[in-house]
Amino acid sequence: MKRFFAAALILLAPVMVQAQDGERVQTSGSITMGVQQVEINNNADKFNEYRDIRDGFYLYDLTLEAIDTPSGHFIDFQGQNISRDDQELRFGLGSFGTWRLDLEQNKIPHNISNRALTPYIYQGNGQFTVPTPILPGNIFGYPNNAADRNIVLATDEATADWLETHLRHTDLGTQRNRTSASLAVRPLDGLKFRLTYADDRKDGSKITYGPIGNRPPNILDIQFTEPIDYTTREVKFEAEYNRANYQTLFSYFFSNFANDNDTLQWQNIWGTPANDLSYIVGTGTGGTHRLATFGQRALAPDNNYHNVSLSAGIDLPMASRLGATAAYGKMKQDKVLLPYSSSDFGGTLGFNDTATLPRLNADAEIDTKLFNLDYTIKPIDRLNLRAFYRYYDLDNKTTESNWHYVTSDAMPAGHATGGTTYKNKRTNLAYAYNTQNYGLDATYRLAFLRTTLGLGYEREEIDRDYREADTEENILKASISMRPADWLAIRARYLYGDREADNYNNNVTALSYWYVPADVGTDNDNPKFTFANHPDTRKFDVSDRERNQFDISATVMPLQGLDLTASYVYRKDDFDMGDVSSQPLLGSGLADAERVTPGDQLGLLEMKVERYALDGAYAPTERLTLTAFFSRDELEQRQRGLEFNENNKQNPSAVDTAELGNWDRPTAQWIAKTDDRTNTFGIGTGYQIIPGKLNFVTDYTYAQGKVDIEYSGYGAVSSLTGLPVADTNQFGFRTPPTTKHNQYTINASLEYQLVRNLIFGLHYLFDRYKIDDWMQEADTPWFESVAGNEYLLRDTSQSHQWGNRLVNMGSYLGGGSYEAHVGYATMTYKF
Amino acid sequence: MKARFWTRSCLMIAALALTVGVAQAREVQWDSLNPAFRGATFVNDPQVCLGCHEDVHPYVETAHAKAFQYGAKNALERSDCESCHGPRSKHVEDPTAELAMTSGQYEAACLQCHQGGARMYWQSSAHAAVSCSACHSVMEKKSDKALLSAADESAVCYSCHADVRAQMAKPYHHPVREGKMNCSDCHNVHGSVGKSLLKGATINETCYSCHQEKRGPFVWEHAPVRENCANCHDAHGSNNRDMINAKASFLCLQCHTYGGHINLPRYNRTSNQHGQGCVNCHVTQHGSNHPSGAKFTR
Repeated sequence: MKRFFAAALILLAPVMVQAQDGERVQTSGSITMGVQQVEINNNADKFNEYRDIRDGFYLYDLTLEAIDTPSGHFIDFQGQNISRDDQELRFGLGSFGTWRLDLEQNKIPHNISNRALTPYIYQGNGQFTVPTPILPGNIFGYPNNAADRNIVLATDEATADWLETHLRHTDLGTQRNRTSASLAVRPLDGLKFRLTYADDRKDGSKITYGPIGNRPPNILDIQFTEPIDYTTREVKFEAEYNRANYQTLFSYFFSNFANDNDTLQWQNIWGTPANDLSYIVGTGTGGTHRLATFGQRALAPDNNYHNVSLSAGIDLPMASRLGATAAYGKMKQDKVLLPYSSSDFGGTLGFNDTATLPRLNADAEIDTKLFNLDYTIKPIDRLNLRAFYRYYDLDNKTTESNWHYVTSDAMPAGHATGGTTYKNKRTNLAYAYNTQNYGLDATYRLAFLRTTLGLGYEREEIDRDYREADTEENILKASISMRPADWLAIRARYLYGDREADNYNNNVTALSYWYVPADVGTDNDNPKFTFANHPDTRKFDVSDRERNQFDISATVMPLQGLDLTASYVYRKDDFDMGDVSSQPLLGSGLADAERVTPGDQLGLLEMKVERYALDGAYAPTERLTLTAFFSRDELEQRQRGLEFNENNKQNPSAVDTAELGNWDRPTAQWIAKTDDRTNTFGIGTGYQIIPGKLNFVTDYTYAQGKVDIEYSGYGAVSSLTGLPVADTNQFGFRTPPTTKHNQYTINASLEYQLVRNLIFGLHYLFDRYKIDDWMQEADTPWFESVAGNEYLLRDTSQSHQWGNRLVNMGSYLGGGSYEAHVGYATMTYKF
Repeated sequence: MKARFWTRSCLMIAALALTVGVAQAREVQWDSLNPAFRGATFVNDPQVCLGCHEDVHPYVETAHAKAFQYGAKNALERSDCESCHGPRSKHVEDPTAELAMTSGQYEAACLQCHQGGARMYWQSSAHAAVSCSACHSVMEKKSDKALLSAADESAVCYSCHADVRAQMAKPYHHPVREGKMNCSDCHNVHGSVGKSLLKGATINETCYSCHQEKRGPFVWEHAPVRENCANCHDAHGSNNRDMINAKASFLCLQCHTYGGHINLPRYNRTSNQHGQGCVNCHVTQHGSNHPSGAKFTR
């Protein structure tokens, strides 16, 4: 940044010197600087989430411009928040109408938390370790054997004690610096070239998790930081040729993303292997589960992207115009792959050796093609027609291979020699789709009340590979806008969409397994020959959908200087297809082949949004302005689930009397209704106390968000008895507490213009944010801190299974409550 | 799929080639735009205008004024005030002849120069019903860029899209209200080939312009993620962390009912209800490049 800033000043210097010659060079600019004091009572990083407000001297704004009037050459500079983490700089030079060179830098901080603690020490290259693990030997926690309960709870206490002594502060947040240079040249009238190069760097860390273990509940999970060290370099070239009757635009874009950290490795904090083995072993009657010393996974891979496009717009007779775009894109990624597992559990199968992979590189590629055609015409006076066609194709050329699935660097009981079960034979599917949209819009201006009516029809067709359904949607649109008087304008719009899923295939996931029936045997958890998702599930993005959308807004100007706007937005998507019952085992020859699913659709059933907004501005005198706004945003969702035992898909009757039971039990369903509301309110005023000399501006904003989830059914009550379930039951869940966000902001500024080009200002900002979120707290009816240590949580059932434990970096990461006062004094000099 | 695309493309290009043959110039015909211009000619001297219109002094600070004054490259640009306001000889002769123009007529004047590039699809855009002057202040520099009618770009947009301002007020949002992003970083308000006036061809292509690490492609793709980021995220803001459309595991449960642990807000483990829900373990939900990444835990 300093180099950038220095270069800008050096380039500006000769012009500024030349500026002494007022006849030839026109110069102008301004500088605003000052000092500020900040007082924050709690979480500074939420207050400064995307900004950098600190104590001390501040260069808020700097602009410089010089124009060599005879030649038309110019040089200019703009900077905000200079030398801060959120600074923005732009330096330009060129010749009006001929060429222009711009250098820009935009720095964006994203501060997540200043309170995060972790036991890990970062060793670089994506590796996290602890000085000494909790238990230098076997750990206990599995199997789910009551005899082990005290041992397990003792292990919890030991873990909490260990954390007390090993937790250390860790930075959590990122800094993004995007620097670009752009050269625009206009060699001929109508011909323009623009070449842009951008260097985009993002450094820091974000929240991630490190599960180690074969599958829940045998997982050891820990929340920690993922190092971010991204560099993206981009080049864009554009060529425009514009004539009075047609315009063309050619564009080529290349983007290369590089991540300095390919792999994330984290040490298993609970124990080191006994006798130098690369795993640790639990004890008890439930069997052993091998857990690696290190977990390992791939981070965001280096990749690149090319896109070339050609657009043209042509004016045609009858006031018509044709616009067309053809574009081709290619995303490619070919990173060297990690082995299946960090451990040598595979034995002779060598799952920790990349030689066992079907291929050594990702070999991933997606090509995209776009063709867009738009035609507008005014065939008769007052009538506008628009016809459009759009085709977008995403062609996934990634090689499909057959892989083993060694879950989370572990190996389940019974496979100590390294064998994998049938469920661990997976094929990566090259998911692809193409979409077509076409339709006709018409608007007609009526001869009265300055009214325009609109009607439209659109059809969308999406074909998908390896998904549950293709979809087709018919969309009808109607609109009206009126201006019956100069003081009144009204606009309204309605949209109806009817989407149909073509032969919804709820067993499409079976395609991602490559085992044969002989592999399966009599295993009852059989995703290929039974089902993966429950057959009553309909994924909302590929299901039937009835869509209703309605917007209306009115602007009223009843008095000179008074402007009122009210608007209402309604959105409703109904995904409920009615009865979806089926017999997933029919024809299998199994004893339970006739069993029928309950037939109540599972998944998201309905989503409704309503937004109200009222805005007003009033200027009763030239010295006084008043503004106010209010808005309310309501989001409602309704979804249904069904809890069943996935280990009894082929024989549901075996669990007919178990709480975790069969998949055809209607009483195992649950319903969640989410009610998400946000109210915002603001008022502001500006008053010229001494016209042209002393101004006062202030505003107050209040935003309140609430999320309620009304939960009923399985978990709240027993699926067998209908009686309430205790919070400490392993399935127990009920309507959770309301999640609340409240933010109050007050801004006030008093500015005094001492002389024509010198302004002094006093400013004050009050910002208070309060959050209550049960999912970010340490103690709820369903999970609890161990021994008061918020950094180790466990399920309130206190089950022996390690999946109940979560070592975390603390409560309210990414947004704790705070109250901040900022006072600052500024001086602005204009020249 | 591939053959169909290229067949259609060839047909479209042939059709375009034919249409070029009948292309028709759309220079502003001032007298047909407004009959009051009939017989008027260009004065071509802005000083004549400034002689009476002293109140337009702020205009000299605008990009138009500077470009016309110091870098005019054609007759239209050299006519300065009249390039937008039309031939004014009759107005100079008789200042009471105001030659008033509607905002729609001014749009035709704007398109004389601003029809190409990012404005190629202006006529077919949703904003075509809104005049240029609704968002741009041509006579006074009120913003650092683009002669917007307010200093803050988002304020211009919110004057009609007040509902989006309410969304941006939610605690989890892109840094628009902090001034580090603008609406135009994602939207081309002058018309585009994307839905909702997005700059990219799709929602995802728009998101990848900043979130390149999500671009992949990955060995293991999460299908709804590849198809549409908005299936899970609301880019305008949310009361849920990471701008997701529902609270943590409830979002995943809108599609997944696998059995056991994965189809209930709680089954005997902390991860379901705390922090980021299912993502506590299925941490590579945007796509995995690990050989054991089939379930996005690696």
